[in-house]
Amino acid sequence: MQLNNPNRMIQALCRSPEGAARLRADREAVFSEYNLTEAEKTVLRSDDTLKMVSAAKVHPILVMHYLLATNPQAADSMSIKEYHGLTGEQ
Amino acid sequence: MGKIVSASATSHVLFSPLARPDRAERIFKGMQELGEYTSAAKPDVILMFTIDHMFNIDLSIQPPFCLGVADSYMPLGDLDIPRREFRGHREFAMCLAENAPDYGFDLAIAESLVPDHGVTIPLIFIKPWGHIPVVPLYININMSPVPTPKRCYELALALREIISKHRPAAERIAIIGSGGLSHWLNIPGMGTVDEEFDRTIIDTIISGKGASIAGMKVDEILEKGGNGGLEIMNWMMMSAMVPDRKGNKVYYEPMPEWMTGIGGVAMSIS
Repeated sequence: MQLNNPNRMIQALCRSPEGAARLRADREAVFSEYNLTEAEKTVLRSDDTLKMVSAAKVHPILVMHYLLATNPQAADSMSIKEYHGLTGEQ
Repeated sequence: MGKIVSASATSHVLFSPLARPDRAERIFKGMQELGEYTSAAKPDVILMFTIDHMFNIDLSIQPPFCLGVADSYMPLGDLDIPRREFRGHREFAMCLAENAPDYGFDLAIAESLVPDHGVTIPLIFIKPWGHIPVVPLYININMSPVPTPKRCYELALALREIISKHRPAAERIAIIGSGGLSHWLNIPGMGTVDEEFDRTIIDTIISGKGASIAGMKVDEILEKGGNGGLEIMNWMMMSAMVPDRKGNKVYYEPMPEWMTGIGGVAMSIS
């Protein structure tokens, strides 16, 4: 899959708490910074993960990064924290 | 001649149990059992076939196979997995990397990795944390073209030969295949589980016929197991390290609530 602008943006920002926070704080500015097309912006504003892959050509794994960075509810459900007591973690 | 003292495979996600507490409990117990199985074998090193979820190996550079050779690793901490350092094993890893070209494989090596849940979920069940050095070998199923099952199988055979010929006789090695089973991540089919595919893979591995998976085509695995299902190649590579060995299914649950079929096996070694 090609390293197009949406993939470039996600790789650059969504793997760090600071980058994710910036994306959440001012998504439109970040979209413009990475020269996303209007079609790409529309898809990334939606919750349609399948279209993010099929239309915006985002790598399926990077869609997951984008969701985790922009959707706290998704991040909350993808967690082992409810097992911490069982795994010996605090 | 290094000795393979355990060989197992397990899925590598654990999400909120609230959706299916009964199944989540069985999954957790299965992962615990596999961790205990590895610990009981008292290995000196763990060689783990796994994938990187594009936190380290992304679209910028896409090696088909990448071996971690660092002295230590700090986990990424995704899925709220605690960030506690664990040891690598440079000498073991470099022995594999330096001898692999004799078998037709030029492995990428990585000095700096932040392992994600593909490595750390199996490890949190091996107590105490970090006491066994780990060498991760990343199989890059996220690139296109995907490394073929045949190529992955041949790599596992090569590594087995290298361990047999180049590692000290007293060295005890645990093998873990991490990933699977069927799941479709952000592609059509997402949320479904192909229980028949999952059970076929488990039965194939534990009946000592894992080598047959090397005959599958990438498209066939994609169709039956989804893009995430390609991780079964890590199970197949694990089984190739202990050819003809049979094993036991430790756990399996279809878990559409977690968008995956999820299971684990332990091979009989002794």
